[in-house]
Amino acid sequence: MTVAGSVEPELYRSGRRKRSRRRRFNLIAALVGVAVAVTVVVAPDWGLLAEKYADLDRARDLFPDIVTTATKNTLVYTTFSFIGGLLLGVSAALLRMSSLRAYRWIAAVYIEVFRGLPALLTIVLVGLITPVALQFQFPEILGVPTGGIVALSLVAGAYLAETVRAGIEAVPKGQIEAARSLGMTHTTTLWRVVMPQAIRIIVPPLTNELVLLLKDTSLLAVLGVTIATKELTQFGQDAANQGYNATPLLAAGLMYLMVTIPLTRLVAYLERRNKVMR
Amino acid sequence: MPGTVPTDIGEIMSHSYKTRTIAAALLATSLAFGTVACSKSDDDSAAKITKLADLEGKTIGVQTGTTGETYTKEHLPKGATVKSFKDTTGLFAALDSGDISAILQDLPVNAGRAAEVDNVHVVETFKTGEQYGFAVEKGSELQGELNTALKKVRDNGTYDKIYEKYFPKAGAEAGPGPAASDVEGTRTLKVCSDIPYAPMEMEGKGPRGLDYTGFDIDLLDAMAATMDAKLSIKDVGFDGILGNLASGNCDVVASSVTITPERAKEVDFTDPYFDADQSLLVKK
Repeated sequence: MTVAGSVEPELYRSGRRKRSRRRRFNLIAALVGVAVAVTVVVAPDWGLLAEKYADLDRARDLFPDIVTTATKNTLVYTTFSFIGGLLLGVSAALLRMSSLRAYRWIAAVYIEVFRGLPALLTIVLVGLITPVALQFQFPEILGVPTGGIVALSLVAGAYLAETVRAGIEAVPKGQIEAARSLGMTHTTTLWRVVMPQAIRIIVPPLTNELVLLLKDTSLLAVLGVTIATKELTQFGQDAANQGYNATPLLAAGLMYLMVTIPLTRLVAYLERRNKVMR
Repeated sequence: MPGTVPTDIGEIMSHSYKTRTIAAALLATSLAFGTVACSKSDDDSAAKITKLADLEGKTIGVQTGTTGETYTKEHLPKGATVKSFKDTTGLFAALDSGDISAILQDLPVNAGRAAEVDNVHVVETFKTGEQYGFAVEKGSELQGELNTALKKVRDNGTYDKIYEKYFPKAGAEAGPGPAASDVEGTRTLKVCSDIPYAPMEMEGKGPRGLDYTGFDIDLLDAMAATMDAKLSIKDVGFDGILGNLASGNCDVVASSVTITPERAKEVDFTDPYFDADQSLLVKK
């Protein structure tokens, strides 16, 4: 027998069924979680794991070189490449928006080529093969071999160019219109009105680029390393290969995180502040 | 249109000569960053190197994790720097461009390079008494099996035929190598090797349809044939190569590995199969 009132319980029941289904799913998820946790705790040989991953004596031996040489080099390479990348990136972005077609083309070709190539390929191409083909050497500047820095700058510049361009184009047109109607010249409008706003927009993506670049410095080891020019990854790998112990790799990983996590937190903070200010 | 106020960023750019100049100047600066400072390599100084002691204050290239690296660090000329590379490709390129002044590594490989290209030569050899062995995991039964196989191919003349193929006597033609084996192999040995390390291991048509060849590969394959086995070869980096045994990535390491007491702590070696020395390769 059907009455009009039966519609409501129908809805009610389906809601309850949904809820009980969800409860059953939660139970299964919890069981799986417990099973995984038990396996993780019981299965491995914890003594061996501790020895291979967290050998404190080995970890102690890494100091102070892991900080004074490896981390320092990683940071120096990152800084140099980022400065080089910014120079290239800003100029490529400005050229990309130029009215002269030739300029636009040069910038477009540069951006497309180096954004599309794997960083490792660019590093080998620029740092290893180009010096052979042209019979020259990249000089050392302040003890830093510059071949890899030039390669990473080219890679970073291509990415930064698009970031910078996006930032400039994201500035509302009304701002330009307002500045122009106040009688500002083109140049003044660009550098006093557009750029300050663009920079605020691109700081978060710029920081992301910095983090990516920091990790890419690990690729520079293909160009050869000396005791003084070893960066974090190669440092960790070399130490790990003596007795095949993962402790130095984990230690190197921690050093990376100690740099990258504050950086990414900073991005998050800047993004939050940006939102509030708008 | 006269009197129109450009409000588009592209138009702003096109009207702003100052900006365009700045962009062009920035680009020029950054290009200069990469090119202007580059110095022409000093070929004259390289010509004078005839021994390790001549390398004072210069950079010597080695491969990471090799006995050549250890030897160089122990016999380092005053003020010289050791630069470690992941593979021979990087080493040879760096010597060619003048990034390093010399390469110190195993004699067969340096000699092979000198035979292949005209602009380098071996100027000094160091009698280190090193011997290569195939490496297997500690306690593996393969050690005994491989030793028996090595003895077999030494006794039946196969070893000498392979040797003459890669290292012909002075003035003699390279030998043809042993006759092709028709053993199918009922089991597979997983082999790790750092390739290229010519003439010891490299890419190319190998025995029994392998895509790799070289002295080590040909020898190990002949040995495997006597064990009714075939090879499956994986190209891995030399740095940390012995770690592949413990991880199960491979059963045998055949990569011109010198038997040293430190390495013997981590893995088991077969009987030695090759006598090698260290050598110094420089530009002519």
